[in-house]
This record gives sequence, structure tokens and C-alpha cells, in this order.
Amino acid sequence: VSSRDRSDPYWDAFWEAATDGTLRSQSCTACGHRRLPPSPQCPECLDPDAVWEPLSGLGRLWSACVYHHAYQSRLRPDLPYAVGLIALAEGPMLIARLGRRDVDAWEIDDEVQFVPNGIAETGVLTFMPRQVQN
Amino acid sequence: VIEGHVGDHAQIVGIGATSMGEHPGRSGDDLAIEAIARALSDAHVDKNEVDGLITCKGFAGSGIDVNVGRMMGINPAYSATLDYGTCNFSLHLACMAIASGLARTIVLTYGTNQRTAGNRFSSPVGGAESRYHATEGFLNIAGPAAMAFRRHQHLYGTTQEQLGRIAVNQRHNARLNPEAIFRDELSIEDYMQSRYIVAPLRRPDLTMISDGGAALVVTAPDRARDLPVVPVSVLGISQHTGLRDLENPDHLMRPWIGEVATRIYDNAGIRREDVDVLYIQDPSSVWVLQMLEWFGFCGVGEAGSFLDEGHTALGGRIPVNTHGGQLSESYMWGWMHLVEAVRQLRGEAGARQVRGAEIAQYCSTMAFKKAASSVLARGIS
Repeated sequence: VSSRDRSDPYWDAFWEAATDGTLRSQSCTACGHRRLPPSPQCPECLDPDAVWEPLSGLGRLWSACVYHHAYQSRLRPDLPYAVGLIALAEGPMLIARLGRRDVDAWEIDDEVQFVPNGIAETGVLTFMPRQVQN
Repeated sequence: VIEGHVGDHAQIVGIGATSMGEHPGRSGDDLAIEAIARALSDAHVDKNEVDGLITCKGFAGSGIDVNVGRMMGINPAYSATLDYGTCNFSLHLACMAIASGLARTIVLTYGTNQRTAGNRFSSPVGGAESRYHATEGFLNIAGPAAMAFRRHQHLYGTTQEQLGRIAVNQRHNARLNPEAIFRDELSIEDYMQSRYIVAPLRRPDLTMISDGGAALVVTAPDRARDLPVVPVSVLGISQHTGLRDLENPDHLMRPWIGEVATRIYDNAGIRREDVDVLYIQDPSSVWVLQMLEWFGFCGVGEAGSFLDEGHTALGGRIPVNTHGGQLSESYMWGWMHLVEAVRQLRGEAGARQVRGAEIAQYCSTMAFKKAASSVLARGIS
């Protein structure tokens, strides 16, 4: 994950958990606002106190796009690749790769879920179609 | 939010631009100074009369006021650098500086050598919070723009052909503009066969990268009256932001642009129907699609059919980007949109002149962060 930007320390706790297979985000202890991207104060009430809580990893696809051009050369082997903007069940919006499906098959409002070993396997935060259990 | 009539305060009396394309061996500031010299000559204003300088940051460290001022050889009363000019924001700052008395005659400028210096636009859009997008490959404005268009298709049934009308129309206009860089014919069939960059956006939906410089001279009405030029009044200005970014509902659709629209026509003292020519900054065609709707030239969700009906073409109800815009003329961060608006209002636009154009509107954004609009009119208001 050498290309991961490490210049913003507020993200460290998020990436540590995501690499281990869990999504989590800050929850404001003053007003309960669930926030992502991570930040030192709550953007709703400006209170600095927060706890990291697990996210379900479930969400709905707000929209998607498919890259056919590599804006950085390291991305060329990945072409074409799909990126989604995901409305997480808990509220925050998250950008992630869309995987384990044909890049052109994604539809808006598709139910998606976090791939726990995605970062370990490919280096990128990945979501896939939601698996319905039983 | 900036409100109120500024038409009593600011007139555009000079425009200047370099040739557009490639300028190997020249810096952005070098190109800006050439444009400034042309704008001052156009205005018949001596550089030593300039008491305000507004620059905007460009590629590779260019566009800082203290550097441009030194190269221009002036000690103005007021100078400032905007992080992101896109002309509307620079023009609004000039209007405020004149209205407040900080300065009377202001030069605003932008210069870039980003084509020959190799800017590949390979960064994520946005501020610090979006840097993680680089790893996931969510780079360039093409990504969020493509997502916004996909969502528009999903909600309203907009087709790729309808979006293609924007690039095709602007290419038609560029073919009437001798300064435009892309002048090969582009039909809707050509468009549909062009390659995807970030699907559903194709190559003609995205800005070119070019070198060039542009400048404007803005002054107070009492000074404008003495100059041997056709002045263009800034009738009204308005801005609004969406700084909460993805925490805003449907943020990539940029509904907050609608806040600019609710104020700009009142601020300018006109009705939307009075606008004769419309300029929309176009790093991607999606900007045009969204802003036609948010500014009310058609209903929200109706831009597809509005484009199909040809209303934005020369000769249509509201000609858009008559110079070809960033999709076909040049990539000057929207500065050439304002230069073209002044040319149209002066009647100097040649084969693409909109006959009797009296009022122009320019709409632009700072990516997905904030929006601005200006209404301009021929003559002193």
C-alpha cells in the first residue's frame, strides 16, 4: 500500500482497521454525529471528543464511473476499473473501488458491502455486490 | 455570500490574451505579462495608472502577486493572490476592491504553461480530505463528473447523445473562432464513436490542456467614461459554496449552485430571460448540463431535451460558450469565457457574433467546492 497517502494522521485509525478487515468511523460523544472523513472536531457541533465505532460495511451505490484512462502509470494494469461513491448504512459517504463484478454491470442504488480482505489482496479499499445470506 | 448591485462601481475596459496552445520555454507569469500588456493597450490605460493587481495561482508556482507585480514593474496600492481564480472569483474581488476604495483601476490576470510543462492533472479533486482517493484511483475531475452524469441519467433518463450535444455545439462555435485550438469537425456520430476516458464521459466531454495568458482591466465608471473604449458594466455578482463536500446531500449534483441563481438576477437587476449570451466554465460538459438547470434556463432534469432542441446553439434561444469553451477553444480556467463575453458585448466576435448582444452571464465553479456568477452589460449602467 505504498501509494497510500499518510500525510493526514487523522486517517491512520481508519486505514489500520480497514486493512485488518473492519470499517470504522468516529462518533461524536457530544452530539452522536457519525463522521467520515476523520476529523479532529465534529463538523456538526465542533466538540473534539469522539470514539471510533465499527461500521456495518453495508451501503448503497450513489453513483459509479469506469476509468478507461490511467491518470497515474501505476494504475494502468488495473484498467478498466470501476469506482463508486457509496452511501454507507450509518450515513457517511465513501469513495471505494468496486470489485468482484464486471465493471460495466454496476447500477445506481445497488446494495454493496465492504470486502474485508480487499486492501490486503489488492491494496485498495474495495466494495462488492451485497451477498444475501440464506 | 456577496450581494448587491455593483454596476455602479466596476467596468471592464480592457481585455488581453496571448495566442492559445503551446508556448515552450515560457513561464505562466511570462504569458500573464504579455496578456496584461495587451489588455492595457486595449483599454488605453498606462501601466502606472494601475493601482490594483489580482493574480491567481497557476501551475508550477506561477500567478503570485508579488512576482507578477515585480515583472510588471508596478507598486500598486492593493494586490492579492487568489488560490483559485477562474476569473469570476478574481472579477468579484476586483469589484469589491473598487467599491471599497482600496483601488480604482485593477488588472486581473492568469497565465499558465501547463501543457508544455506537462501537468497531467493526475490528482484527486478537492482538499486534504480527498487525498486518500489517489490510492483508489479516483483522480481528475473526470471521476466525480462522470458519477454526477451517471446519476443524472438514472434520475432523468438523460442520454449520452444528449450530453454529446454540448461538445458538438461548442466545436461548431470553435470552428468560427480563428483562435480556437480544436477546430476539426465533430458530429454527434463522431462523438458517440470517441473513446471513453472515464465512462460515461468521452474524450470530447473533457477539457483540453493548453498554455496561454489572459488579463482584464477593470475600473470605476468615472474613469471608464474618459476612455476611448466601449465599456462593459459588471451589473451583478453572486457566489455560494458547498464546502461541506460529500456531507452535503447529493453533493456531486451541486444543488448549492442554485443558491447563486436565486440571487444573481436580482443583484443584477435583470430577468434571466434578458440574458443574450451565456458562458459556462467547462472542465467537463457536465458543468454545462448542471448549470443550465441550476440557473433555470431549463427545469432540473430537463437539460437533455433542452440540448436536443438546439436552444444553446448560435441562433438559438440562449447561445452557450460561443468561443468553443475549454472543450474546443483553450483551457484557461474559464478566463477566456469572460474575454469572449466582453468581445460579444462589444460586437467584436466576428463570424460567431450574436447580433444585438447586450447582456452576458458567466457561471463558473471552483471544482466541487464553490460557485460564482457575474452578469455583464454593454455600456455604463
